[in-house]
Amino acid sequence: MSSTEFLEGLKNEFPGAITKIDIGYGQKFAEFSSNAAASIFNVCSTNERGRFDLLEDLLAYDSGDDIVLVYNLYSTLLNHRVILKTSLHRKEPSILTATTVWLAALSYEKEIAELFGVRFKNHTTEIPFLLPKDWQGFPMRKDYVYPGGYSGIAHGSGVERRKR
Amino acid sequence: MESFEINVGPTPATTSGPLHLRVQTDGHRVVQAKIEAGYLHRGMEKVAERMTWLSCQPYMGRIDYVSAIHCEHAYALAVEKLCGFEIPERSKAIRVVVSELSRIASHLLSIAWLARTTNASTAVMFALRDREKICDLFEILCGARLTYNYVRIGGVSNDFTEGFVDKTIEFIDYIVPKLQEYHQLLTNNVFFIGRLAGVGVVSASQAIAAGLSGPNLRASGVKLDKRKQEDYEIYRKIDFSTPLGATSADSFRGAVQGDAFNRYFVRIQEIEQSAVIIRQVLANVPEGKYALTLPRVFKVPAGEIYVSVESPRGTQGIFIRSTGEKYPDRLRLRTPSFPVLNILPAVLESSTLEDMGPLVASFDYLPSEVDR
Repeated sequence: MSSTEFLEGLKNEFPGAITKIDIGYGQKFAEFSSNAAASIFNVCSTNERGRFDLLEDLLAYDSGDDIVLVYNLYSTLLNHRVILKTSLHRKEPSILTATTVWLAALSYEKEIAELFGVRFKNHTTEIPFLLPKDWQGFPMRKDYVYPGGYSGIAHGSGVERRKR
Repeated sequence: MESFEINVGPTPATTSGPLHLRVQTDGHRVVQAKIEAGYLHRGMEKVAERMTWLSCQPYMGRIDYVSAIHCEHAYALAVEKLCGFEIPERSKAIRVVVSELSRIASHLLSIAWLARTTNASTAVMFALRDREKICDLFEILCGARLTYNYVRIGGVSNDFTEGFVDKTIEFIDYIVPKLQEYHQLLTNNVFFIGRLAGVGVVSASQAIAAGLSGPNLRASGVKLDKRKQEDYEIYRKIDFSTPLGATSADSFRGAVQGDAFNRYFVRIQEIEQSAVIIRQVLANVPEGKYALTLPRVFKVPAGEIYVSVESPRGTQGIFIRSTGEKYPDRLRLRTPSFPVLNILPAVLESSTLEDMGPLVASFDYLPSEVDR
């Protein structure tokens, strides 16, 4: 269980930054504070007990209060996985880009910036990405209000979650 | 030399779906390449938030329609794990058989696209002809030829139908010797190798950094296979190997690890391995039920989970966040072609216009799963 050891080590190294360690369904989750992103990313990729060289997935979800980013890290050298999470204020969510450590974050961050409105500091490439260039709002947020139509084409009102 | 900006796409001949490349050229060299994705964006992740757990299932096949089984499979696995369902042994075996059949079909289509970009039109016909046989098998099994909705939460939608097992074994007996024809037409063909060798080289470290997975990663020599790593279904009990990109340069006139030729070569070897898996599983399918009986609307315990399976294009991952309701709070689709976007511009920028077609096709990039 080297990823558990790694997380304990990480917690000792950054006592304030790692706020919670959790195991659910056999997977290790750790929550970190977004201020410490730079050092946490660096340690994850370079620490010899971690060596997380593959960012398998980076996603966001809207928990209702915060925008939560989930970094799914895998080490191809040590074959273990850890899932890092951080909560950002939904008013002006921003965090340092992970692209300097894992190039893989490039497209994921573009997607999250567009769909959730998270600003990634020092991220260079252009957004929009998946949506049309004139799209308004951040569709993946829970408080997103569906537009009545697009480009003059109205669509029906069946947009509320169906009651079952 | 005058510089041009050339628009390739949005419907180029290199991928099965819309992909738009804006290419800045200097003569026949590519100086800069920009990718515009999103033409097939259907907002699947948003749609899923309004669906019940069961009604999400048919949408999953539409994410990656070339091998619809794998996304359905990942979704079913994730929900089962959250609910703590233990599915019958028989359904596990059935899932492995259909996964591998689907893998062969997808790789054949990928080889067809690739051959088309090099004008090897006989190979296109061969690959599509053989893929058609798998579509027929799926039609016997579940009535659908493309998006099956066959793997369900708790098992599969129906048991093996009459004649399916015999016809599948017949197909395996047919395809394995038939691969020799592909080797004659493509693998050992000087012109085909010449078009692909040394094109779009991605080193192992570059591939990992960009987050590539599946055959694209293994062509660069990184041995990473979800079927071996993640203990899902009955893959642990099956004896099969994971082909890697060839290391010695002289085995195929100038092909190097991580180039377009090796990405092709890994795929054609994987077809053989899939045949090995299907034979082993069909020889010993456990008796019993093919699925659990579940209500049409059910609640899933609150929790977060990430599950991944090996799809023909790489890691098909699903992240689910449940708040204990009848519908998912967040359904994240981590699709295998998506990370190709990270590396494709850089790889294109060191290539030429005539190499662009085979280069893009060799990554087996599928817009429908990138855009979702």
